[in-house]
Amino acid sequence: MPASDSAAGSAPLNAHPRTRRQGSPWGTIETMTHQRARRDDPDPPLDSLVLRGLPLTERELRENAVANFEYYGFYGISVFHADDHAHLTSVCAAKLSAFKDVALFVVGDLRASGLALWATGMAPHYDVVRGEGDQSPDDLVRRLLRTPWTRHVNASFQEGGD
Amino acid sequence: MIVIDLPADLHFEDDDGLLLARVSRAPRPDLVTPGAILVAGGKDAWTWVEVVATEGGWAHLRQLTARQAAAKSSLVAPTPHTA
Repeated sequence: MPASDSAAGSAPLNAHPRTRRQGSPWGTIETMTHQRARRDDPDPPLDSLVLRGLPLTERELRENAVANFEYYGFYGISVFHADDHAHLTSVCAAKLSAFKDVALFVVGDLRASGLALWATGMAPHYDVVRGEGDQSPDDLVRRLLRTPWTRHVNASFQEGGD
Repeated sequence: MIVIDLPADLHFEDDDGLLLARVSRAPRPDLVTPGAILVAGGKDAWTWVEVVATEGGWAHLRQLTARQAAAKSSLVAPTPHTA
């Protein structure tokens, strides 16, 4: 189990794609979720950075969390991690070149907001999560929006993300 | 004017580092097929992508530079006047 689970519980390490039943006004819906690969990375340092392109809107964050739930079976908001400001430049160029501006969160501030980082997919991708068994994305989104962040002008911005 | 073929969150990646997007969000879902070159994202940020695969209503997308996209496809979409 990755050490980064400590802040908010452990991940649902889906062993295989599985069928999940959801209640709905139209009856039961069966959806297929997928196994999510988690890297065995050490905890990100508390003074390191988490990046997400701006704007940060409640609607878009919620949509990302819900999409993650539908595909992987847990509420998570996709972000990228940078160890320091030098790494920040390369992450902006590689992953966020479509964004004029980027929100910079400090890992320690996310932890203070009761959020955890799961090292998911391929580095530097992470999911910001509330914890296993989270029943709705609302608390996750609310806590992320309340976490302090700073605006970083992306010097690598190219319209169309070149 | 840029036309978004497939609304997508440009942070949401699968385990292979490919973008993930719901096919049903596309104005023309029938265009979201493997090998298609599309514009993905939203009004604030967009990128060229190649559809690598579709499964269960989801598309897996590889980001391309404009140069890479131009080498694979016309980058000009027909408008209602020229279609």
